[in-house]
Amino acid sequence: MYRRATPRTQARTCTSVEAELARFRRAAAQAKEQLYEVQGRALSVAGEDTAAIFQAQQMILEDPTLLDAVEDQIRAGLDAEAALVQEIDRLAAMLAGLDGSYLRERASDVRDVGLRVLRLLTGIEEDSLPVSDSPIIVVAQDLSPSETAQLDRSVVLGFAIAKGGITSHTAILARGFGIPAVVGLGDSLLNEVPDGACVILDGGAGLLIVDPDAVTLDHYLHKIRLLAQREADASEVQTPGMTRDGHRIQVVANIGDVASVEQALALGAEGVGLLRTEFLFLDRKDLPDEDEQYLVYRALGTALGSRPLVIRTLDIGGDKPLPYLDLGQEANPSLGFRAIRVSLAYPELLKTQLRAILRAAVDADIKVMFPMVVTLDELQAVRECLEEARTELKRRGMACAESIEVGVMVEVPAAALTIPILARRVDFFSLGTNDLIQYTLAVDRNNERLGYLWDPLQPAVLYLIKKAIDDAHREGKWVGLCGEMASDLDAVPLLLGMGLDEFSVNPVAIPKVKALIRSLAFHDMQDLVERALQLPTAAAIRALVRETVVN
Amino acid sequence: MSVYEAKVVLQDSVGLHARPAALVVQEANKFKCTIRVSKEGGREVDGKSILGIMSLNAGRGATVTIRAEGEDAHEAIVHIVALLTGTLEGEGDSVVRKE
Repeated sequence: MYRRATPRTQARTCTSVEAELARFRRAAAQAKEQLYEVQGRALSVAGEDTAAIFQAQQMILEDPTLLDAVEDQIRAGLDAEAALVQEIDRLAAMLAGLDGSYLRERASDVRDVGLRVLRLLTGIEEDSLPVSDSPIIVVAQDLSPSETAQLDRSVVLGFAIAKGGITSHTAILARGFGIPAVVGLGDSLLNEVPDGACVILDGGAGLLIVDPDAVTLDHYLHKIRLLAQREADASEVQTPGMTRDGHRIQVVANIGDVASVEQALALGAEGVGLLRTEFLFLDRKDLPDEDEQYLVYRALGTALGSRPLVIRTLDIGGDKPLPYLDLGQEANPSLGFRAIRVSLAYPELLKTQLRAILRAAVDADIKVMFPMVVTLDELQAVRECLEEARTELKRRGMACAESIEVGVMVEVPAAALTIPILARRVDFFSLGTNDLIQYTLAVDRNNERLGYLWDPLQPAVLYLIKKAIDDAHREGKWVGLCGEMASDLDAVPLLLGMGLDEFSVNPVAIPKVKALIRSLAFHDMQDLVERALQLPTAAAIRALVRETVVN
Repeated sequence: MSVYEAKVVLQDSVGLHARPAALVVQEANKFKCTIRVSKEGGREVDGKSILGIMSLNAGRGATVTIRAEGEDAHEAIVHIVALLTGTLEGEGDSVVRKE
């Protein structure tokens, strides 16, 4: 149990005004130095956002609004302590009186700063926070940011406080320092928890359980072990994709809705390598307009921060009917009117999407990618649509990205074989292997009778992919792969050895792909590719991979 | 004496709270001129005071007016507007010389 001792201000016989001013300035300067140290500690332990709290507190101590007011009060005859308390109270009350929980919380920063200076003025050392040899959970009315930062993490397992909300700096600090905490438990907290009681703190559920029974205790002990294991796995997950010998690989996510982006990031995605935009168009009666699309792309861009987001334009065909767009029935949809072929027949549809993408790309690393491009003419046509979309936005006076990376999906052998031609008008390629394999082998993957033919390790497929990657690199373009092959653990070592720059996989596959890449050496995989491409069958190649690599 | 004024609509998700407020104050303190900030015709606060800026309670979408007065007023206002709009172009055009 922790009760903060607030230094009492005692009536002191006032010395000279000058002496009081000097005392106050000295205390303020010392407080600033202390905060600078705390900021440094917070920066190394908890990161920039947490450290910023203490930087803001230093700025309060430099603020003429505070300093001038206190000094005026001292000149008017108050001693330094009284002047400080009065002005801190006034400023905190002013902030607390404004609308919004955010500013009410900032009022507590002002008080925290004031308390720090007051302690220095009165010479009372910082409160002794609980000292203990065995692990404890601190229960208190409130903890200031300074007190929170100063908790001894070797014994303090967590804390529960009566005051505070989730936006309070105390809560932000707890998250930053990774201290389990429950805040805002109400003023009766201190009366309900006896000192020295056995308690369970469940930060996730916002619970403080006092004197748990055996069943509850067992439940939580089990949970602690489970979480520890998951944390150990997760800490690996967030490391960047890299081989054992330091060759950098981007491991990014394929997503098809907005919600998946959080999951992808939690699983260690370094960006999104394929956003399927069909979800915006399916299961509805009318076309999504530009603003609706823009908001979705922008939200995704924001969620990803500085990480890249590759948006694929609408990839639709006769097999996926849209009620508002009659594409007709075809005998052979996979060789028919679909993907970029549809987009170029309905340029307004494409341009609406491109305008939304260009707007969202203003403040996010967004790239655009076109599905199923086969010829340079198609590429020219979509490029023209892109320019028109930009011109239209400018005419409307709207902000749009001046330049955007443009890529094509290599899904047809024709494209894979003509990379040097397509490279004239694109910035990157993404191998869409689900289709590329089907078109190369002339096999419908869903046809059970042809299962023996459908294999990503077929020599023809590997030759084609190797050639595509080599040609693209020769033209100075990067290459990703967003088919399921990128998460096939027999294929990953080969793709790595071919020099693939980006693996785009379903979020759940990210940890295993990264882990495998981490265990491999780039140079060994280059050798592996050379040997594999001399073998006559998919089965022989698979056997070679499995005897070379532990996957 | 040069006086410049600019109006900015705050785009940041938290407006002039926290980090943005601290950044504006840090930027303002780099210049000699006086900098006053007000929200939609309300009272003016000192642009070099974090408590002042926070007390504006200017959230996202609020329009704030920045007024700089002094020899480096133009440079100061251009920098602060750039900070608030996240760009050195576009909205920076809204800087108007008053005197």
